[in-house]
Amino acid sequence: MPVEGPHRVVCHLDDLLAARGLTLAALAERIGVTVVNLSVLKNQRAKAIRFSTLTALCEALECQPGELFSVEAD
Amino acid sequence: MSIVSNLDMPLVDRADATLTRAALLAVAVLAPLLLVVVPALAWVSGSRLVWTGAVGDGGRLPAQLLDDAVAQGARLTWDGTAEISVDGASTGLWLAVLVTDLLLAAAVVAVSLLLRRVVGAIRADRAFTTGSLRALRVCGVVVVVTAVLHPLADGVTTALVLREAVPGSPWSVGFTFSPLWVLAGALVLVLAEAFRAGLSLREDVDGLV
Repeated sequence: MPVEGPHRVVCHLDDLLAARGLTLAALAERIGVTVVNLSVLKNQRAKAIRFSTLTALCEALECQPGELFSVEAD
Repeated sequence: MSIVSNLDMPLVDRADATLTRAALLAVAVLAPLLLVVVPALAWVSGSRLVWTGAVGDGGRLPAQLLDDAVAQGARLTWDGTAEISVDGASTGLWLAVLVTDLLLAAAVVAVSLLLRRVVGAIRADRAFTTGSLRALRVCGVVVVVTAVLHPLADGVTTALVLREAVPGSPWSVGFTFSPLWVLAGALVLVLAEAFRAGLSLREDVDGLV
């Protein structure tokens, strides 16, 4: 698949927030990312994520990147 | 020199942007008024036509200035430009004058309003948009085209005015071309290319969390 094409990465932030009993606003405040950006991520509208943001998310949610993201089958 | 060394410091703050946009709007309103409406009213009211243009070779001083004694080591030369006024100018002549001025006024209005839009977009942190890119490209093209067309029109109109003011004068069309204006238009087009790269970069980070 060409790099310029659409992606099939799915973000499971919703599931992890529910499992950890956290709200989006609380997570946003904890990791210093805006609610708007987290909402973009949660609603599958993100196109890229900074490693620093990914690190902060995984630390706050006590998870690995593979639990936060997965690639849907074609 | 903090403006040069401090690259994070914006050169345009809110007041600058507001003043610049106001000035550009004023130019867009005044240019057609002064260049087209005022001469048109002069025509309608039967006033004399007044035109400034190149009427002869530079270097020869008009006779009236020769009356004044020139100091030793000083030299006066004439650039060949004169103000010509004609009473009862023909309709064709008035139209030629108005069309020449309209060409310039239209260019000034277009560039002023487009630049005003770009300044507003920059101030609103929306510099790299297709709207700004398009505005800069049109500005650049308008400046370059006007830099070539207006001197041509000006030369033809000057010849027509001179012909009517001095009926025996030979038909001669001059063309005073200023490369600086073409350079200015080229500069704007180069800037538009930078904006195109900026737009591409912005699209790359759109959706980046």
